[in-house]
Amino acid sequence: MSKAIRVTIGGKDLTLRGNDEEKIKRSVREVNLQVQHLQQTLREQSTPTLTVLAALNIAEKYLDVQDQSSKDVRFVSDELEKMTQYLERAWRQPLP
Amino acid sequence: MSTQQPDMLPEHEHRGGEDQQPERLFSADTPPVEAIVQRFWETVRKSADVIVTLRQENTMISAQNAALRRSEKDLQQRMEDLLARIAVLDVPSGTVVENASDAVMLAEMRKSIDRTEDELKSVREANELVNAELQSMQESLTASEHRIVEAQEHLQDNSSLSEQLTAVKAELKARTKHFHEIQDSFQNAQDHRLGREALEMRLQELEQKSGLNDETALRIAELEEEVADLRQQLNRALAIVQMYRAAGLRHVEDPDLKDQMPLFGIQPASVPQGADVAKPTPETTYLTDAEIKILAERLDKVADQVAQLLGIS
Repeated sequence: MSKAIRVTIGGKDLTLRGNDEEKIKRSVREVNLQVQHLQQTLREQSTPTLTVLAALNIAEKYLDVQDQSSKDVRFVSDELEKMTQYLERAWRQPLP
Repeated sequence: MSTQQPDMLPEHEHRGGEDQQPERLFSADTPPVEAIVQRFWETVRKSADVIVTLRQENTMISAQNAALRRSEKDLQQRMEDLLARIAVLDVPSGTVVENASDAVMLAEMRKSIDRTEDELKSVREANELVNAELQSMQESLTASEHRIVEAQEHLQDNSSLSEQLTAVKAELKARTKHFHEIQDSFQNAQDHRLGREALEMRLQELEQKSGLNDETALRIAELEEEVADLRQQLNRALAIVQMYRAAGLRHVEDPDLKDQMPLFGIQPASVPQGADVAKPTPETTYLTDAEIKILAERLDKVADQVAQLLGIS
């Protein structure tokens, strides 16, 4: 059941719809933090520009996390494979 | 990244700093994957060591089991051989003696007996081994029995605890019953107290009524005195009436008053004497029949009042 949620992003009021209100609020809070930080460092830029930059920063971090997640999955898979082989050796190797 | 920033921005600014507040969205609080994998590796190594140890123990136990089976088979075979030779030696000695000419056969039999004795020695040794195993089994059995006894004691402890629990429950039940009895007796005492209060109130009412009875008794005494007085007056009046009727007169006078001194100029009626008695007049009559009747009615009323007071109807 989607619910209408009124939020303010970069000083602009918006009405959003979604199932997870808490998640939407957290996302809005993160975008606002990005925009506020950019406002502090880039005072001469307009709000749309700052919003686009914030979106780009968030997208870049998302891609970084995605890449890291893929690496972690590969690393864990490799390690699990090594552990399996190690245990199989312990089970099958001839005893002294 | 040059693709995410306008041309006028220096590269280091477009993310607003790597360690700034906005970074917290992607900074995980969980430990790194490498540390978790390392801990899992330690567990895997320990598991591998346990696997190797268990395999070695299993191999040793299997070897011991095989040796025991071989020993058992060997002993079984020796026992069968011995039984067979004992059956051969059971041949009647008379038959052997009768064939005394066959000395060679006797010598062979002696040799056979010697071998049998040697085999008996080996069987005794094997028997000693079996006895040692039996001893160890007996010890194991004793240990198991000891464990069973301990388990039984533990069970008995549990039983005694259960009995204690049952006793405590029974005691609690008895105390609850006693408490209810005390509550009932307290209720009874409360009822008795209320009854006593009611009785005390009733007693006060009766005492008040008793006071009324005292007043009534006084009233009765007064009325009795009045009755006696009236009766006396009636008797006196009747005596006067009788006296004047006997004299043929209608004049009535109280003879008790004849000697009293008149006060305030009032002349008391004199008792008629002689001719005066023969001529009575209505003006000189003091107590007529009607008055006597009124007096009698008054006396009846007093009697009725007395009867009501005394409860006589």
